[in-house]
Parts: sequence; C-alpha cells; structure tokens
Amino acid sequence: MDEIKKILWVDDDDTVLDIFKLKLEKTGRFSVTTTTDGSRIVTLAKEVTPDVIVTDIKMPFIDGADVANLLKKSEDTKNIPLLFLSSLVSKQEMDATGGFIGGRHMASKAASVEEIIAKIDSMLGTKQEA
Amino acid sequence: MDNTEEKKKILIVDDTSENIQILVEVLKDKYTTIVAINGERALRLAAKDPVPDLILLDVMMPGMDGYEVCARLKADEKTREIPVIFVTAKSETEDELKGFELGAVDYIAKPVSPPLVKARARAHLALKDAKEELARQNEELREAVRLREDVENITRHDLKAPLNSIIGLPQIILQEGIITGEYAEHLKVIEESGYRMLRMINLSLDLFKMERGMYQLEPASVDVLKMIRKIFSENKGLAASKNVDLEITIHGYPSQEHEKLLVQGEELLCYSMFSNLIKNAIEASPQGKTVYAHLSSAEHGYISIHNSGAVPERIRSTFFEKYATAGKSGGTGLGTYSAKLIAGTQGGSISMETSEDKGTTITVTLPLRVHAEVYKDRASDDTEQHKQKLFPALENISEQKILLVDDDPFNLKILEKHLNHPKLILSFAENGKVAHEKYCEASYNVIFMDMEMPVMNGLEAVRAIREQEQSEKRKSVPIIALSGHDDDTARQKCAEAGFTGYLMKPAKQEDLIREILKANATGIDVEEHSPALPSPAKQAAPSQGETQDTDYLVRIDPDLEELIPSFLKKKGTDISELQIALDNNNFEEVRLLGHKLKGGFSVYGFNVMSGICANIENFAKVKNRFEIEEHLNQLKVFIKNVRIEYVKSP
Repeated sequence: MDEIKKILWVDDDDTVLDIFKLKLEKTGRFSVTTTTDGSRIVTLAKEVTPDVIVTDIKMPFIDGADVANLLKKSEDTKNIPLLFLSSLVSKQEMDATGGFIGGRHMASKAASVEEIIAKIDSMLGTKQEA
Repeated sequence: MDNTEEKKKILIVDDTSENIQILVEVLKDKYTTIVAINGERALRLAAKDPVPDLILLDVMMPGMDGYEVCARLKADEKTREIPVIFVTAKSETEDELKGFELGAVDYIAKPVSPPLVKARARAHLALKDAKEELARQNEELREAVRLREDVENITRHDLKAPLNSIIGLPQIILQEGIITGEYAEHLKVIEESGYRMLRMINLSLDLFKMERGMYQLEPASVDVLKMIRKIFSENKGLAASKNVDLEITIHGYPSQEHEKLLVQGEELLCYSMFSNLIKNAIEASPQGKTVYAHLSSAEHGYISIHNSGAVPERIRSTFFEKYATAGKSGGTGLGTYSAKLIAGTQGGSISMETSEDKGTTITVTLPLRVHAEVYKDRASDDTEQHKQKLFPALENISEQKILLVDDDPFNLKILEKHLNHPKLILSFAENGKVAHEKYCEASYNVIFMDMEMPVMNGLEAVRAIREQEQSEKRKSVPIIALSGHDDDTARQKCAEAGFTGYLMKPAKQEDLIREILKANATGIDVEEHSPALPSPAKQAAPSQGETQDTDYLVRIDPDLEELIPSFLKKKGTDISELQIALDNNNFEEVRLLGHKLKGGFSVYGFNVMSGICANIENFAKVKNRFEIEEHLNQLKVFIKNVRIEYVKSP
C-alpha cells in the first residue's frame, strides 16, 4: 500500500479548496491541508512537511509568485515541489507540455480534478493504480 | 560725466519762488527737479511722462491749496502712487493729520532744514523702490507657480495617454489565447503595473484638486476595519522581514470576524491614506515590535496607527507638510501631506503624537456613516425618496399595463427604472412592428413609443395600431410619443398619426407617471381582448432573450453533492458583496470578486455562470457599469433558478 502523500494547497477561494480536498482525499492516497492565506505558507509548510505544494496564481493579497518566493527563502521549504494552478493555462497547453511550462509545473484550472491528480502523481513519481 | 543711473525726478510745488529756490538748491545735486508755482500746473506736470518719483508740496497756496492738489493726485491712477511730502509753515497736529489722511507720506516744517529734506527725500524714494521691487517679485513668483502647475498638469495628461496602450493591449493579446503560461503572467503584470500607475496619476490629480478645494467628494460607506485588515495583509511580508507584528483592536479589544467600522468617505482615498500611514509605521517601527491599528467610534470614527519608534525631533513640527522627510531615501515626502489632505477632504482630521518612550501615534478621525447598522447606499436612498413623492398617486389606481417601445435597450432600461412600481406591469418592444404584434395579442393602459426605430418607426406603428382599433372596434389606447425633437412640425405629425401625447427625450419620471395618471383619469379600461393573455410577469429587456427551464439545469459530479449547499451559500454571499462593491463604484473589487467567482463556478462545473462572471471581470476592467449590472442580474436569476442533477461524467 502506497504511503499517503501530503499536499498543502493554497487558494483564495475556500470553495475551491473544499472541492480539491474532498476529491483528493477520496482517492485514499492523499491527505490535504488547505489555506486561503498565502502569507502563512512557510509556517504551514514546516508544520505539515508536504510532499507537494499546490498554489493558485491569481490571488488578491499574496499571489502565487509571492508564495513561491517565500518558500524559496527558507532552507526547509525551498525544495518542496510546487505546482501552480492558473486559469490562464489552457487545457491544450497543459496536455501538450505535460504541465511543465517555463521551468515550472503548471496546471490549468479548467482541467478536471482527475487530470490535476495525474499531474501531481507525475510530479511525485508515483503511478496511479488503474 | 553723466551718471549712467537715471536720476530720480522730484516735483517741487510752492507759490513763493524763494522757497522753491531753497529746495532746488538742496536737491539738485542728487536729483532732477521740476517746479510748479500753483496747483493746476503741479497736476499737469505730475501727470506728464515720465511721472516724478516724489512730490514736495506746499500747503498754503492761493487758488488750489496743497490739500486739494494732494487729493486730486491720489484720485488719478497715473499719479496715485507718487509719494507726496507736505512742506509747510502750518504745523498744528490736526493739519498734519489731515495731510496724512489725504495720503501724504510725510510732513516737513518750514523753514526747511536742508539735511532733513535730503534725508526724507532719500528715505521715501528708497521706500518707493522697495515697494515696486516687491510687487515685481510677487508677480514673478505667481507666474512661476502657474508655470509649474501647468507643467504638472501636462505631465499628468501626457503620462496617461501611453497608459491606454499599456493597459489595453495585454488584454487584447491574451484574448487571442496564443500566449499562455509564464508569458501570459508577464502580460498580466504589465497590465496591472499600468493600472497601478494610472491609480497613482489619478491620485496625484485628486491631491491637486484637493489642495485647491476643487475636489468633488462622492461619499459612500467605507468599512475601515475591513480595509485595515486588507492593508495589514498586503504588508505582511514587509512586516515579517523586520519581525514586526501587526495587530488590530476595536474599542480596545482584538477584532472579530464579523465586526465593521463604517465611515463616510471614498474607498480609494481611504485606502491610499491608510496604506501610506501603515507602511510608514512599519518602516519606522524598531525590529521585533508591534504596529497597532486601534479603531473606535464615538461621535466620529477614530483610527490610530501606532508604532514604537519616535519621529525625529527636527521634523516634528512640519510632520504633515509637503515634502517633509526625515531623509528617508526613496521617500517622496508626500505621504503624510496627502494623508492630511485626504482626511480633511472627507470631513475628518489627522493628528500626530510622538515621544521617545511612548512611540508614535497618528490618529485619523472620519465622520461615521449615518445609518451604520444597516447598509444603505445613496442610490437606493434617492430612489426611495423619489418614490415617496410621485408614487402615492399610483396607490389609488388599479394595475396598469404599460408597453414601452424603443430600439435602444439602454433607453428601455432607463424607462424600466423610472417605472419601477408594483402597480405598473411593464412590457417591452424593440420596434414598431413588435409593438404592433404585442398590441394584437394583449391590451395596454398606456403605450410609450420612441419615434426613430428600424423595421417600423413610431409614426407607422401608431397608424397601424389606430387602424386596428377602428376595424376591431377597440377602445383607443393612449399612445405617448418619446421624441428627440421639439418642434411644432414634429408634434403636428404625431398628432395627425394618432399619438395622444408627446414627451421630449429623455423623459422625466414625473412626466411618465403623469401620463399614466391622465390615462387613468379618463377611465380607460383594459379590455380582455385575447384569450391568450400573456402572464403579467415582469419581462427582461429583449436583448437578454428568454431563458428556458432547461437552461438552468446543471449536471454535477455526485461526489460533490455534500459540498454544494455550502458552496451555493458562499457564492450567494460573494454575489451580494459584488453588488455592494458595484454600488460603491469599487470596480477593482468587482473585478476581483468576478475573477474569484469565475474560478469557483468553473471548478464545480457551473460553466454558464463561470462565463457570466468572466464577463463581469472583463467589464469591471473598463468600468462598464451597465454591462456589469446586466450580468449580475443574470447571475442572480440563474442562482435562484438553478437545478442540479448529479450525474457521473463519463
């Protein structure tokens, strides 16, 4: 049995967080911690020690770029794989590039939850059981 | 050799030539002298160019005496400014006073003492020079200020023009959908930087107007507690880098989620002011200390920003003045000055207290929002009042079916707003033909019709309707023309075609209501004409189109069922907030909420609603209020009527 992977998820919209947490945890393979406050990312990351951090890009106060920068500054967090969610990335682009754009892992907000899970799996190097 | 400097010219007036001789002797070395032996000649000489720089005037003269000469000199604009010294044997105090009252600058007693005359002449001439110099410098200064203001204005104007491209083009490029990912993010940053610049320029323009008392304040309700929270959030990084904590208290206690502090003012101005003050406080705060925002309300709203640092002594007295900095590199010196202007413009005030042991507290007072507990925006206040005035009359009549005909949906919208009353059942038609068709199917109490319409215009439509009435023996319905012209020929034509009334566009609400009341007074009944009478539900403007039941059906993944109730509830709250932001003219907030809603709806599978929110987001960028309202209404309708089917997607 694969170990449960820990995900830390940042989005300004808590309803979006609800849906991803629900769906990911339903697979039985993930444990999801969510937050709407990007500024707490480093503290939370140290607490939770996630395997992957997922962040929305367009957020009002602290945006995805800020989150990335905050994480980069701390030794404990700078190497955690980071996935950006963006409504600007189209599904076609995501499929074409495998979600690796400009040196960053990106996923389209328009993609289905399943596709996002697949992306996370590929980032972790885990394969989803068919 | 001549002295290159022009000698000053002195006019000596005395009826006795001996006296003149004495004065000329005394003064001729240093000055050019001209003489007059009576008043009339004196006046003539004084007015002749170049006018003298000083006049020595005898009082006792036959004919016109010295006093009268002086009075006349002062009455003439050309000679008014020439200093006059009375020279006379008369030396009673009252005579002296009279001389001064008439405008003389000095008094010399006869017999004259030559050194005294010289000294007095020199003194008064120097004074005159000094006055002229001062006036000249003042004018130059005024000119310089005017010039600087013009330059500033032009700069602002010129700065704004290129911003149109910086803001507009990224959006156009992104819409093509070719640029994505990181480069798209770059474009977004460019666009947002453009907006930020625009805001700064507009703020400086606003400050300019505020300085001159020309700023038009549009006060609305501002929740300063929410705003301070937001600003704290935005500055968390800055604070964290100095290990500074940020705390908010309200009435002495830590703030709770649901609390508000509503003041009267403008959202953007307050944001700018508090943002400045808080950033300053964080920058001035010593490491590891806390910056506080203490909020309270009594007869005003009080917002105090406190940090443990002290203001340097040398700038304490000029703290709120323009360009007062403590040598902070990169500081514009305008932060506290603009805060003071903004506080004042909104009817509030600002003050600062500082000391080494107590730190620095800057307190802003702002007027409280009048109905603080219940949020009411000004627009609805106005319409409420308006309704009180006109609508009582409508209470006494029966339900009225009104048909509004205009090809411009915007005009229809305005008419709809004017006639927003439960007793008025409105129907719409976008041209004469549709109006005629509707008339065939139903009956109306009053028809308001635009003149210029495609397919069938006002005149044609009214003729068609009257013909119909005749052939079917129906009672005549009052049809009121809404015309852009106000000439007799137009009115004549309308009357001949069959219009019963004529209103100039834009029609005032009272005129519309009056026509409705008039129609009712003549006791025109609505006949039940056709069995298939359309239900008296308020229809949307034609441009929106009718939506069917199936349009509200959304298929959702059954896994999400448990999340849906709270999701819909939260979206409902977001939509209310959007309405509030729109009412407050806060287009930035509308855009953010639109964006958030777009994402949220999309992820859950409400694609139609997501699309509506995407439109709201885009229209907020260009501040298109009308479109935002339209879409917001669509959204509200949708969320009210939505039906969910839980179906697993293949």
